[in-house]
Amino acid sequence: MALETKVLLALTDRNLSLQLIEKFKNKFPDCPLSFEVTEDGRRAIEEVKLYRPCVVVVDLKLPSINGSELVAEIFRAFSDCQIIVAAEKMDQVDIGLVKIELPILDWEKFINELTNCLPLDFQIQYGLISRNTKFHEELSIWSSKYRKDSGKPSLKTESWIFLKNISPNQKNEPVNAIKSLSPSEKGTVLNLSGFVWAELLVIGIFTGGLMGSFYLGEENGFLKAGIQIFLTSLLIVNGLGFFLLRLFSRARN
Amino acid sequence: MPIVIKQARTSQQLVDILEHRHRCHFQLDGKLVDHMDVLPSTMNTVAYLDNRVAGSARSVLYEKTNSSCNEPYSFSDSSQKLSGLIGYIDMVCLSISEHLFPTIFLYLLKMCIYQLAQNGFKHIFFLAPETMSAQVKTLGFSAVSAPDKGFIPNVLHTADFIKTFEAGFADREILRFQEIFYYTVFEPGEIMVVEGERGNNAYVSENGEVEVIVKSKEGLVSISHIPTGQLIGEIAMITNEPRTASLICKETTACVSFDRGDFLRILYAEPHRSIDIFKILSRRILSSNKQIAELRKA
Repeated sequence: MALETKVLLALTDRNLSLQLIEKFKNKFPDCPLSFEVTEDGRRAIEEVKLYRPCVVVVDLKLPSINGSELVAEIFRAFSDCQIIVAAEKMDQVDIGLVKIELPILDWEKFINELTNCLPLDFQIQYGLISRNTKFHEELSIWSSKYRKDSGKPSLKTESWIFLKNISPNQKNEPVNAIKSLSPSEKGTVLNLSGFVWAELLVIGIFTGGLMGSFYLGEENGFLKAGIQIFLTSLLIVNGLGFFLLRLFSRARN
Repeated sequence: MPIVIKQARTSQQLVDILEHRHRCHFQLDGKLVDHMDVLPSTMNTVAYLDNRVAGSARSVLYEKTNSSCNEPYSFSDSSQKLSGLIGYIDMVCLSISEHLFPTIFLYLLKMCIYQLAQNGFKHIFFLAPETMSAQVKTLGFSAVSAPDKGFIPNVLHTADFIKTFEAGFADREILRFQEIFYYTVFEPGEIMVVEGERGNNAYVSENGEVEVIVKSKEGLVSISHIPTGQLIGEIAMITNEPRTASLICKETTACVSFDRGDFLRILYAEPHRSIDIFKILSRRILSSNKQIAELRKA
């Protein structure tokens, strides 16, 4: 996800923020980096949530919130940003943060730190850093011996879905899933109907047997029971079997 | 550019997935038959290549009462033998580049399983096409139905998967930061890290050989290789200092990665967890001291 190229300056001294903006704009007049300024800690957290800046410059002595609590809140609000901490004493500063000592004596260093915290692509695009192109070329030549094919892999427009959704919310989905199968895969699905036929036959015999047992006390009872079993099995197998085949043939088309 | 495979958490990532599925469905069927669900029991995984979505996968809670999951195979027999929360990977969509296709498929699935396991799922079903059965088995899936079918329902015990996953970590303390892990896959010849540039992430390589290169007066020099399972780039990530060496992948290399912002967010919210990082760094210093001592002796 591309970060917005915005910097939030949360410094107690508003003039300091304005000075920094002015000096940065003077140094990189064509850079489209935008700045937001605040002098309140709670407000700074809200602005981080709102603007999602790529860099936040934080004064640890901002009113309304403790410095380290503020840093934790900023990370919680938007963890993709870089935090530069401005403090009078450096022992106040915790691990993982870029530090700037107050009062600012070396503006060049401050601007360099700010520039370094911006996304690398942005720095390169707007010439904020000079990349060692010779070194990159050397690295590229070195790594080329491991590349399997030349050039960057590109995405084809062709798409594949390996598994269709079979979710209860989509009643037609199994049918759609079968529709998208290749002919051989459809055949595989249809093979299942063999099991279905066998199951139906067993159900038919069982049901027919149950119904036929009523004839057993009568004259020619065995014959009548046999005919009942045969006819019931035939009816169930043909009726339901036909229905299933129709379902699968619809899917095949 | 490496392939980055993440659990989709932001609304932008979910929108990316929806668009991708739409594109895949449209090209396949000529119409949209998908819907987006962001239910609590639904987990989405997304693979990016060159900042474009190359693949997505969706996994859901599998309920035994869900009759539609019996199509076209019945899972009921196997699910009766399973206990605990059961997940179901129900969709894998890929826009493919031919030679990257098995890699994206494999690691997309891996991230999916990892994500389900993190959420307490004990078993996972996956309805894999037979053509992919070999790759699916490498992840620890075992076939539930006969292998002569077009689709093979598989079941995976996540405890086994996690055991294999964790076994690859030499710096085991970093496993306590699992909630921010994602996969990055580098192709042979890709440059992982450039000396002198600042880096926002650290890696633990899961496989593949990584060469360490440094600048010298004579040009580039290869100084060593990174063993698998070792944490890479953590110091530059934490201190925001430039990288001290370049890393080049000699073969396809999959890395478990995490970002600086996520890492610091955890440390600032729960400072006691920094002790795990101190352990790793102390070990690193100890090892460096030993090397220096040996060099002095020599």
